[in-house]
Amino acid sequence: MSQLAVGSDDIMAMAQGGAGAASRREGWPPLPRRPRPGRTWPLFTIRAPIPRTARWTVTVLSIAIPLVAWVALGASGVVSTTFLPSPRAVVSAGVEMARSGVLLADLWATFQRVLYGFGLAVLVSVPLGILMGTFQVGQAAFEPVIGLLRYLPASAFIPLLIIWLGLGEPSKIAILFIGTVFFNTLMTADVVRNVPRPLIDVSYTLGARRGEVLGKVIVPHSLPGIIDAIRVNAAAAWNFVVVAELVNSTAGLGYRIVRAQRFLQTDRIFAVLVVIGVAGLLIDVGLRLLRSSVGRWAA
Amino acid sequence: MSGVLELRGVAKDYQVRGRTVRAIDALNLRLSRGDFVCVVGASGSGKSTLLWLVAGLTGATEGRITLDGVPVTGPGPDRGLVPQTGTLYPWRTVERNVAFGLELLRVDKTERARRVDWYLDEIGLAGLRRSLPRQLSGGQQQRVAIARALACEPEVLLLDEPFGALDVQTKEDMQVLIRQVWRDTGATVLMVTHDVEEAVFLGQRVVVLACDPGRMVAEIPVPLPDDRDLAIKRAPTFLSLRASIEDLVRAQHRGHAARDHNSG
Repeated sequence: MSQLAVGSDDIMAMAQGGAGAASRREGWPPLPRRPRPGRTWPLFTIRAPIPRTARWTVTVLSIAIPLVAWVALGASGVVSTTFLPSPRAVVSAGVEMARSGVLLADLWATFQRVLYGFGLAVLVSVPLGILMGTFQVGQAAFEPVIGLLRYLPASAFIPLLIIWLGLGEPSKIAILFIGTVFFNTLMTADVVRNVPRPLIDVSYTLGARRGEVLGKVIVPHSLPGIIDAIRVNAAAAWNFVVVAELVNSTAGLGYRIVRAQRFLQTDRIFAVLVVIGVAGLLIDVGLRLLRSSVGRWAA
Repeated sequence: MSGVLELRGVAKDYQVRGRTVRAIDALNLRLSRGDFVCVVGASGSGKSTLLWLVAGLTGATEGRITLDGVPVTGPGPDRGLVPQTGTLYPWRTVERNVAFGLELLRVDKTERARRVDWYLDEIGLAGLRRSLPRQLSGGQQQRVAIARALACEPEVLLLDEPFGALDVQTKEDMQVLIRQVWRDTGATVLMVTHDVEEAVFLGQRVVVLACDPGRMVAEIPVPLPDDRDLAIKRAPTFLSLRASIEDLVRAQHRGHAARDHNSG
């Protein structure tokens, strides 16, 4: 409302003070009322802590129920054991493979590929992400290209990479690299971009030069977030390696699955899947520990 | 006395959605060594911009800023800055935060420790030297930020509403502390605040800025002894000075508001 355009009615209303203002509310209908909400079930109160026993019970059940269902389904004979081997058959297949040493050799072969492929991706993506998150020119140069490339499925590169690099290790490592490097770069750049501006400004007023701001402020502040990004993408790397191994390899967990398929050994496939899951979980736990020791300050 | 910090005809424009907005206009200010000057003004008076200009974190559109006669062209440890909140390095302990500037100067370990000890004593946080910032209260964090800036022995200490986010009791503790630090170190302090009481209690002079753009309306000497405690806030001289400066700030704010209405 413009002060210059105050009309005489308004002045009257103002002079009458509260009474005038109150009279203008007289025609308002009452606000609708809602009944009070009923009591919510304690386990489903938003963000509320639940008792320890409840938490453990739920966790144990979440594992026990599928396991029991699996056993029951096998025992009932509804599904043929060729398609769904019993847990016991899976365990014995796993033990047998472990005894003969193939499991460990496969695990090591796969792990090595992850180490090279994803390791290379980390070595490239972390510096590149820091560059993109720190300098607008880095962002302008790389973000459009990487933003596009990351949507190309790594598995679609398999034929091309086999043509380029042959059937050996390099093409498998390249798939892992392509599958993880772009995501890790963009996630690192995001983490770096989130370093608070005032922290950088203040560092300059404490005498830091550009390189020192980068090395003593931006990198240490970003480190926990960078490890988080690596953790997320390590899971992706673990996926890609098995995909890569499904095509023409002579060792590795993916290769073992393909081989077992050829002989209809579903128990072996299941055993290998369990190993993949457990190995991935162990890597995740390791990176989680690293993250919490590096990022103790952020907790 | 020589002017340490001098601002002559300083103006600053910002680009806001393609429009040029003048945040500060025709500002003249002079601080001598050991001065404690407070700048007050309603929000939108360009108070923080003023400090950012002096710190060299942004460049002036017009005018000159000199430190000991040398033009300010960029940020440096001779102008330590303490913003309102959250600028400690969260991964560094209290003592390593204070030592940051000294590490950059490659001051050797024993000398560094001696200086850090002194500043930690001065701000009363020697017992928390190995704590992380997140373990400190807001007031403690600001004390560390002040010690960290002072450890570089700046020509001018720039305080940007450093107590603005603190509760009233903590704020008063900090006011007493900053005066003590000022007297112990002989630092030159330029402080921005919206709290007139704080400005009168702390400053030897109070500068009042108008809004939109920030122009200097008045520079008022504070006729209080250098030896002040919180009780002085109830003295008649204090109260009347505070009231007249508050009126001045309010008048600038009102003027701004009325102009807004007329153009709207």
